[in-house]
Amino acid sequence: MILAWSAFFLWAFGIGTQFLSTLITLVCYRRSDLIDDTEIVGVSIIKPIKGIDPGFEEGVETYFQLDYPLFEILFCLQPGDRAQAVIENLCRKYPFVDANIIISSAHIGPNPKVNNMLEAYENASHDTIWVSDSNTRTSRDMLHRIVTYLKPNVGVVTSVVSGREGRLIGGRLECLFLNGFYARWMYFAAIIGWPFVVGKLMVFRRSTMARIGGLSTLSRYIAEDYMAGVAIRRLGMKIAVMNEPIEQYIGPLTLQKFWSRHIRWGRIRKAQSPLTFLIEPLLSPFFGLGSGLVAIATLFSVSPAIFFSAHLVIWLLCDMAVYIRMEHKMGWTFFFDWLIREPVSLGIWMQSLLGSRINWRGNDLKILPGGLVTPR
Amino acid sequence: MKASFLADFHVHSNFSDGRHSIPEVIDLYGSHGFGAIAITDHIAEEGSIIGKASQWLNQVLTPATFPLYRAILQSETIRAWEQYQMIVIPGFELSKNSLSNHRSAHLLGLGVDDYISADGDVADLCKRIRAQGGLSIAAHPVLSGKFEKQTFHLWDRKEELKTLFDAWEVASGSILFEAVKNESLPKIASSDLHDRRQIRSYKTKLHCEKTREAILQSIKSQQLEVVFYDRTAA
Repeated sequence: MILAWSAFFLWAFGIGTQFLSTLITLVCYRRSDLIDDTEIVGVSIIKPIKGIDPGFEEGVETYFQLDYPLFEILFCLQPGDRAQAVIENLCRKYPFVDANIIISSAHIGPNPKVNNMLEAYENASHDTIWVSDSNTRTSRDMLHRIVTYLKPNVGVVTSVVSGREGRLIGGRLECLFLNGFYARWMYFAAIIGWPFVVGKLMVFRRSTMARIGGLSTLSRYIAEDYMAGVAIRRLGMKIAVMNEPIEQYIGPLTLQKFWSRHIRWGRIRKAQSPLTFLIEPLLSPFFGLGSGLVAIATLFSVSPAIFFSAHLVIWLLCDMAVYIRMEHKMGWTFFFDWLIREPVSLGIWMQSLLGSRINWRGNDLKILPGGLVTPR
Repeated sequence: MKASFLADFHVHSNFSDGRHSIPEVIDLYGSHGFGAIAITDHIAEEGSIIGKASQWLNQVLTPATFPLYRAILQSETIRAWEQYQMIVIPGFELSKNSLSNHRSAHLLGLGVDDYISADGDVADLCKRIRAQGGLSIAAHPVLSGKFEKQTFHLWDRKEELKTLFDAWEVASGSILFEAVKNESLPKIASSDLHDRRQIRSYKTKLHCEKTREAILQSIKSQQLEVVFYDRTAA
């Protein structure tokens, strides 16, 4: 009987959090109101670049089209990066935008992204810094929206990522993860007062970052964004999660690339927050289904077939609602992708559990407990 | 220039199990007119189950969080001096927790800048603290009178260890340890503050220059007084 009730509570926990996080995502995702009298602060947009990802030029161009009176864009490249020619073309196309290319081979720690950004960070003209990944796309009024979140007690502004235009099985699964698992848990974490920072959009004041030792302090960590959030919380400041997500163009992605990217993310999560990583499988619909079937077989006179169907339909509807909210559309392949997502997730989780080595943009790294990283 | 001032050498922040951030702790003590504090967050043994659990629950400093701790302490040390003329001494509390109180020990390291694992024998830990130029302090070595893990290991070995410790806590919070008081050991008093309400507690009063070196030297040479601080509001 104890086993049956334990199974029931596990099922209730799973379905309850699924339902609640869906509700939160539906409520939280919206464009926040623009406040006309928000003070205009100068913003330096730092874009670390490494090669040309699909949709790169279109994504970067959206930053040249920002409608804001005082900003600069600093593109950070390593010598010989072929993205330089693309950016130079955009600079010529938008001559009135204050954009500069900073080529640097600085190396202060094992995190290649921080190494890439460091010189731009030190030479930025403004106190407010927006670190923006190269594969994101922004809306014209995004900077106006961002600065409304940057209150005096806010240490960093971040946003949920919305995956767009995923193609091939890997790309579609990536969208399903970003516009499902990640989106719902990021909004959920923000609502319960434990938000985390995502590096796709990270806005902070340099004066705040100086209080945690500057950007260079973060160079020893694999996930500089997550640790920036940890440091900001320890400073007693807040992390603001925007209601509107930042778009990430996914494009064509093979299953192999999708898998290796998520192994990296899984191992990072495991190193940084082992307890939450360990309970991730409890949030799977099939775990809930298993525990629910055990519970109803003992406690309730409900047909297992009806329970099976109802459980999966509720779970699917929740995922569909979040997905449509995040991507604004849904193709028929969603149902196929949804079915294979869970076994794929379990495989990724198990492989993440068993190792600590990753390859990040050509760098072989070993993740240490807590998210420290060392070259392999 | 010498000055008389109050000091608290055992204070926790939200980097371990304290309730307040380092800036909040500094504002608390600064607004109460203290001349020096040491922030001493816990470092647990990495080789024990209890220590590992504390790390997973973010209740202790780890090799991963220590660089952030040190960086924030450095920037806040400057602010504390500029705003309150208060010295902030970097430190930590090496915490060896076992099911048995007689195998449990907490040691403060004061004036230390680098991470030290809490694994190993306490004698070795003291030597490693001193190798950094820091002071090793025996924290609440006898019955603390509080609902918390008791740590008697250092007291059980006091004869053997006494040359390795620069001071022993004679009071922690609002409890004076008669057993420590009656021994001819170098002493110190501190609050073991986790929450702002615990500022009402025993403290150490110093008369020396307000510099890190002079303060640590005063503890070593025992030029200090144990006082009870009874103000609850700044």
